[in-house]
Amino acid sequence: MSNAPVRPLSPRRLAGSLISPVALRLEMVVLLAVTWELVAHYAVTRIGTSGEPIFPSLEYLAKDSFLQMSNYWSGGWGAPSPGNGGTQTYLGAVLALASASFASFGRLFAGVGLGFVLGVVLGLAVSASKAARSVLSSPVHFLRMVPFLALAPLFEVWFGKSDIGAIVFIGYGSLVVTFVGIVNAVGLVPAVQLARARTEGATRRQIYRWVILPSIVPAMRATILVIIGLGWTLDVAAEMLGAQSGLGVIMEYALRFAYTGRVILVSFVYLVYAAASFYAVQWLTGWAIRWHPSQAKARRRRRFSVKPALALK
Amino acid sequence: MKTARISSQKSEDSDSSQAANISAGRTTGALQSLGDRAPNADVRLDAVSVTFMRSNGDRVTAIENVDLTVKTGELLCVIGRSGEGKTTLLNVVAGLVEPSEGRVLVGEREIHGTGADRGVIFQGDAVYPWMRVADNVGFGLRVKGVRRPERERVVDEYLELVGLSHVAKSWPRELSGGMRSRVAVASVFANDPEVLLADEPFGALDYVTRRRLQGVMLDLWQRTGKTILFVTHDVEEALLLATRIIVVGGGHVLDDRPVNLARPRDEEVLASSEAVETRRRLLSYLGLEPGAGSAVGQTNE
Repeated sequence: MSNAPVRPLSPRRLAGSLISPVALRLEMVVLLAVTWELVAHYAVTRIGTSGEPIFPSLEYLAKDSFLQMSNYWSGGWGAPSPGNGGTQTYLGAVLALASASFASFGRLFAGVGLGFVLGVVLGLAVSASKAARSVLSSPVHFLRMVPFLALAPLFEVWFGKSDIGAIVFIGYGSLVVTFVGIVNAVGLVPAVQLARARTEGATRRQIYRWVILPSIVPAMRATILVIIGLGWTLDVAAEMLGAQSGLGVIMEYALRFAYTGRVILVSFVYLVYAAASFYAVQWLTGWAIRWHPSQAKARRRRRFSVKPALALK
Repeated sequence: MKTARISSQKSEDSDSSQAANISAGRTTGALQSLGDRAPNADVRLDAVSVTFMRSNGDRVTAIENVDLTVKTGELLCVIGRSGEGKTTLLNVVAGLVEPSEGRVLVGEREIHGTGADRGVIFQGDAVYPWMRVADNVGFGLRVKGVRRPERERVVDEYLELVGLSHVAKSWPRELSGGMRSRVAVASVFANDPEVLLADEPFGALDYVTRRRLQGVMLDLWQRTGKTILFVTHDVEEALLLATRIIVVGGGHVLDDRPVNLARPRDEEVLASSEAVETRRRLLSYLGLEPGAGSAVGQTNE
């Protein structure tokens, strides 16, 4: 425990703490919530065809829409299925969301993992070999130009309403983005670093292993962060089109009957998952680029941003 | 496996006292030349020309019909204005550029491509940011397959020589520009090349740091007896370091003169009449002082 005397909170210090980065983030959340409530209660109060408000309030979302999630629970674990005559319960809602989330996460990680690994292998192969470049480069760059979502129905036709189809679809998008990222990153390895390895006697294989691969780690990490975000988009599309389980399926049913509240709630869950997976990957892969100058800057920024918040003590 | 060896009698002075010595052009510690110097590390260029093709189709001759021999243990400084062929000359010896005509020999061996027998200290920052300082210095040895204990011994010795033992486990991003340059110098010497090529390695550093590193370079050269080709645009640097200086201009060797100044080359030596005359001649080639000799584009008398 520190024995340092606690200074009284002067108006100037209070004002300073209110505009600190941490406080500003919280204030923005509160402002958004207040604006949402004002719009829901006074600006858009129309009731939709489903009997639900088309712009539900936060209270409606937290109570009614959340409870309605239990409609997607098939029963078990102490929660009845409303579809089979049971009542709506919060436990059922939680279980329905958890079950759908599990299915969505499974597809996401399988698809993104598959696409990333294949993308890295193909990207490195194309960068290393003229023959591979001439065979693969043009087709993949052409596919990169085709909007991913436009291909979703095609994958449904090819793979039917199966998990494999959704995983391959997510994997395809991840592969293409990773491939382009890796090829660009290899091309941007500073020539002087390659020349140094050559003049120190490194073989081609050693150059790839000890110079090119570590050099492109920051680009690989950035690619993972991009495809995690993209993966969620592709996951929604795949599940809305043909999957039998997952958050996208709940979204699809809710949209079909214009249950706006459920759509917003699932969207919010997607938002939380996307942000959580982004930060988790960022945190987990941070050690891989601990040598990068950006990491020192990031640490300095974190220290700087925490200090004003401590001023409240 | 031939690995780098340095004098076992290490400098005991600290980094700061080393800097004081270096700033006066002196070297530190006992300057024992190595016993395992390559018997013949002469570098010979026979009628070497290098021609590049520009993107618009024009042909540019960077160096033309250059004959040059650098004797084993010489510290040859190559000076000249920007774009006159200094770096191309160095890159040809390094094997990074193939000559369009002529041949390059190290000892009796004609060289093609790069090799660990010719180490390069680059103009740009070639320190690998993802390797800690010690790993950077030991990179060449790792490439050669030198086992870790031996590698660590050599790395420790060179880090001590360049005054970086205390940052062996640091990331390059945590070092100053001067310290990174010392890492580059140590990396090349630790790899024990027969010939060392330096392409304006200290050009981007401030005056004090540059003087310190020139001292480090001299110290290592005198300890190891390497053949060194040192490209610079700084006449003072050339006078401080070289046993011989050539002036390159328009793709030709315009002047080739030994530098017989005493060492250590302190202010007094560098103010001697011989040094003044050499400086005047070199500057005139660079177009910085009117008088004897000529500007770039003419041959020496």
